Amino acid sequence: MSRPSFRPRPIDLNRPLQIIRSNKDFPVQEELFSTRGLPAVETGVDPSEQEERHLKEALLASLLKDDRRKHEIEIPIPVVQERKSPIYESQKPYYLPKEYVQEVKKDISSFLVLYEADPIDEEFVTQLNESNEYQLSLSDFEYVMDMLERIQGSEDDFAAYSKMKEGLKSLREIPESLKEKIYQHWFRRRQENGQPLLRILRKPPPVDDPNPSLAFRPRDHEFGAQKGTENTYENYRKAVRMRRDFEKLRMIVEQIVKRERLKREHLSCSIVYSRLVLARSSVKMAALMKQSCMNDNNVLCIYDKGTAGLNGTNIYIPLSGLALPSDIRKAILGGRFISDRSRKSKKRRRSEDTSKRDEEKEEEDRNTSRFDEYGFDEAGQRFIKNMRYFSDGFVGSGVNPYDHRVFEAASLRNTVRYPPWKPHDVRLPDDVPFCSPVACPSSKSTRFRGRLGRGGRIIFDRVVNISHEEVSPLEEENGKLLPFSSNVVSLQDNVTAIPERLRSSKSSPGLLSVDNMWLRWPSKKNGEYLGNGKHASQERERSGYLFIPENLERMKRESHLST
Amino acid sequence: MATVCNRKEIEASKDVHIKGDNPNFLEDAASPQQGVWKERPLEVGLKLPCRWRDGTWQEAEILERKEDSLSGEFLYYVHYSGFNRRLDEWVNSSRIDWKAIEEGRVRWNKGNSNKKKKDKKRKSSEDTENKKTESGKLENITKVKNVDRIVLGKYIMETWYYSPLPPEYHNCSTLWVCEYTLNFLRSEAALKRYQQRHSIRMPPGSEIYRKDNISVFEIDGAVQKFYCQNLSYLSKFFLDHKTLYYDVDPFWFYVMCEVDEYGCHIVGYFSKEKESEDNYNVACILTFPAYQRKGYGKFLISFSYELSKIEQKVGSPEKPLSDLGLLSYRSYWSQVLVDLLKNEKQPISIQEISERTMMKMEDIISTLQVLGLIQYYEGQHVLDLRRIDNIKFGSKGLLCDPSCIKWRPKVTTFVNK
Repeated sequence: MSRPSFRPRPIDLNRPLQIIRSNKDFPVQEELFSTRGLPAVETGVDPSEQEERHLKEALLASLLKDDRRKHEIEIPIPVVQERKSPIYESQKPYYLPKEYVQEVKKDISSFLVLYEADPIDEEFVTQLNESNEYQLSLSDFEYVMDMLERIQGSEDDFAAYSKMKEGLKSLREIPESLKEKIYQHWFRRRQENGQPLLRILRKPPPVDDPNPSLAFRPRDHEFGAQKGTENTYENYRKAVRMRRDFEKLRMIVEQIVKRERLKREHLSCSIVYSRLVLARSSVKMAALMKQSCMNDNNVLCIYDKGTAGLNGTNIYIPLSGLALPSDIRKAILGGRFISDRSRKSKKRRRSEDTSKRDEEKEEEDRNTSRFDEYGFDEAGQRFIKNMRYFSDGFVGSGVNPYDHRVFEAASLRNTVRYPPWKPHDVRLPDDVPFCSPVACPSSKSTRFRGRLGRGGRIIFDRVVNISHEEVSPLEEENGKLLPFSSNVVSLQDNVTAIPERLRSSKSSPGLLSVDNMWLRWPSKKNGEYLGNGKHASQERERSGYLFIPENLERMKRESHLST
Repeated sequence: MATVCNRKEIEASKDVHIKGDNPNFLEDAASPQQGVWKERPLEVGLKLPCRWRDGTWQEAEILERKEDSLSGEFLYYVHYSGFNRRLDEWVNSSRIDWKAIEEGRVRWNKGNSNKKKKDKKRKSSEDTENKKTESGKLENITKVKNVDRIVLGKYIMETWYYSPLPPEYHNCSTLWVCEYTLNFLRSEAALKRYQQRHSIRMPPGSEIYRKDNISVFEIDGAVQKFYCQNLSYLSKFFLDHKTLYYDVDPFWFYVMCEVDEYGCHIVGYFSKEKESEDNYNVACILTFPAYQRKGYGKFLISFSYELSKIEQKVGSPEKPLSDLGLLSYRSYWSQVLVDLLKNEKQPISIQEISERTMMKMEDIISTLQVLGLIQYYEGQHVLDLRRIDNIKFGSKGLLCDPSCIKWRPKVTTFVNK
C-alpha cells in the first residue's frame, strides 16, 4: 500500500537499474510500485497547444494498451491535393551520378534569373511590343531587369547608364532603343520602391526591430566566436588539449616524412646496384650506360679491375634523379676530404669525364641544400662537426656552441690539419693494460687509430675487426677470410664487400669483383653494430666515402694494413 | 451573455444603417426580424458555432473579417476552439450558425488581454530564436495566414500558418514554388518561365545519404543563403513556433529528397545549429504535408540521431515541439528504448542508455515514464519490463541505414571581427 507521505529519492542517472521481466523476479504486490518518484513528464509542447483536443486524443490513444482502436488517431490537417496535369513532361530526364554529390560552393542565386514580372511590368512589355517591331518576350524582359538589378547591386547611388550599357552588351538580339526603355522603366520602379527589387539584394532588417513580419535579421555577434575566445578555464583546457594533439600530429608527420625518405633512399640504392649489375653484364651494356651518363651531372665512376675479358675499365652509372642517402651521396659526389683536394689540384683527375666533381659538388650543394634543424647546410654541418670538439667546452660557461663568434675563435686557435676521421692505424704493444683482447676476441691484433681530440688531445680509438660471421659470402668463396675494419681499405685484390644498402638481395658472389671499396655500413636496422658496439652514428661520421682509384693507391701506401 | 453580445453587435452594425448612439441597447434591439442578422458584419472576437468540415458545429472565434470585392460578401477568418491553429480558415456566412446568434448562444473573447497573456507564455517557452515583440497589434498579423496555398512540384498544399514574406507577396493567395531551387513566384506562367531558364535538379548541397530512391543533402546556411532562406519561408507555413527572426547563417539544413528520373524532389528537412549551446541536435524538423504519413518524419528523426552518434554528442530536439512533432518523437523514442531494453540482460543505467542512443537523459526518463517502464520499488528505481510486449507502437517509419551515411562532423572555425 502506498503511503501518502511517500517521498522517493530522485533517480540516480549513473546507477544501473534492475530489470524485471517477470513476476518471479520481484514477488511483490503491485501496489508497492509507485511512479511518484519521478518528476512530471514534460512534453516539450507549448502549454496552450497541449490543451488541444486532437493532441490529447492522440496521446491517449497512443497510451492505450488495448487493441480496441484499430486505426490510429490522426490529427487532422488542412487539405492536400494532387495536380492532375503533367508537369514534368517538358523536363529532360536526369540521373544522379554514381558517387555522392559534392556540394555547390557558390550561392545558386548568382546563377539564376530571379526577377519576376508583375502586372505593371506585363503592361509595360505589351505596350512596348505594340509600338516596336522587335517582340520582347517576358522572359527576356525579366532577364534584362535581373541584370540591371545585379549591376546596380545594393547601392543607393545609381550607376551611370554607361555602366549599364556595358553590362547589357551581351544581349545582342535586343535593339538598343528597347534596352534604353527598359532601363528607364527599371529606374522608375526602383525609385518608387526605394529598395532593390530583388529580394537577395536588399539589406536585412535591423536587429532591434521587433516587427514579426520582417525576417532574417543578422546576428549581432559571430555565433560561438565569443564563446570560444573568451578567457575561461574551459577554453584554456581546450587550448591545451589542442596543442597536445597538434604536437602528436607533428611527430607523426615527421616520422612519416622520415620513413618516406628512407624508402626513397633505399630504392635509389637498389637502383644504383641494379645498374651496376647491368653495366657489368656486358660491354655493350657498359657502353650504353656510359652514354646515358653523358648528359648527367652526377655520375658514379667505379673502377672495375677485372673479370675475364674486362680489364681495368671504368663503369659509369648515371645518378641524377636518384635520391641517395646523404652520406653515400657525399661520398660519391665528393666527400669532404676528397672534394677539397680535388678542387685544389686538377692534376689528380685521371680522366676528364670521371665525375665532373666541381660541378657535381656545386650541383649537389645547390640541389641538396638540406638544412638541418638549426639551419645549417652541408658545409655548415661539416664545419660544425669539426668545431664541436672545440666549442663544446664553452657550453658549460653558458656560451651557445653554435655561436659563430665561438667558431671563429676556435677555428683560429685550432686548425685541423688532419680531419679526425682519417684513420692512422697505430699498433700498440700488447701488454698495455687497456688494450685487452676481451672486446675483440677474434682479432689477430688490436688496431688503434689516433685522432685529434678536444683541446688538442690525442685519442686512440680501438679498431676492431669484423667477426667471422659477418664476412660476406664473397670473401668466403675466395677462401680468404678478410679481416677488415670498418674504416680501412682492404686491399685484397678482386675482393670487396658491398655495403648492405647496395645489396638489394643476396647476389651471386661470382658476379662481382669490383675493386673499389664500399665501406661496410653499420646499419642499425639489421641490428648490426660493428663488433665493438660503437655507436652507429659515430661510425658513420668517420666513414662513408668511396675510394676513388687514385686515392686507393695512396691509401695503400699510407696504411699499415697487411693481411 | 446575450445582452453583452447584442450590444456589441448593434454597435458593430452601426456600419449598416442603425441610427442613434443609444447605450441602452436593449430597447433598440427589440427583436430583429429574421434574416436581418445575415447582413450584419460580425465583429472580430466573437465566438460562435461554425460548421466544421465533418458537418458538426464547433465553437469558433472570429479573428478577422474581410469583404470580398466581387460579391460584397463578408468572409471571416475563424479559429476553432480547442483545435490547432493550422485548422483556422476563411469561412463565408453559410458556415456560420446564424440561429445561434439570434438565440444569443455566443460568447466573446475578453478583449486583447487574453491574447497578450498567451503570447507571454509562448515567449518564455521559446528558445534563442525568440520574437521580441511588444505590441500585440503586430502579433495579430501573425495570427492570420497570408498565403492560402502553395504549389510544390505536383502537389497543392494548403498552408497552415503565417509566414513573413517580403512585401511584394502581400496580396498573393497562391505561391508557385520551384521544387529544385525553392524559389517562389506569384503565378504559374512566371514559374514556367523561371524553370525554363535553369537546369538545376537537386538541392545545392553535398549528398550525405543515399539509399534506394531517398537522398539526404546537407546544405550550409552561410553558403547557400538564397536556398535556405526560401526553405525557411516555406517551412514556416507549416511550423507554428518557428521564427525567422534571425538569419540562416548558423544552421545546417538536411534536406531529404525522393529521387526519380526528373530530379530530386524535396519531401522534408530538418535544420541543426552549427554550435548549439543546449545540445540540440534538431532545430526545426518538417515533412511537407503532401508527403506525410509515409514514415519520412521518423526517418528524419532517426537520421538526426545517427548524426549525433557519429559526432558522439547527446542531442535533443529544440523546444517547443509541435503536436505532430511530439507524437513522432514519442513514437521514435519508445521504439528505440524498447528495442534496446528487450535485449538487455544486465542492469543498465540511464547514463548508459544515453550513451548508446545519444538521447538526452530527460527524454529517456520521460519516455520510460510514459510507457510505464520505470517504477520505484523499495527505495530504488527499477525497469519494469513485464508488459513490454503489450506496448503499441505506430508504424516503424522508413528505416535509416547508417552504413549509407557519408558524413564527418565539421570543425567550425570562427572569424573574429
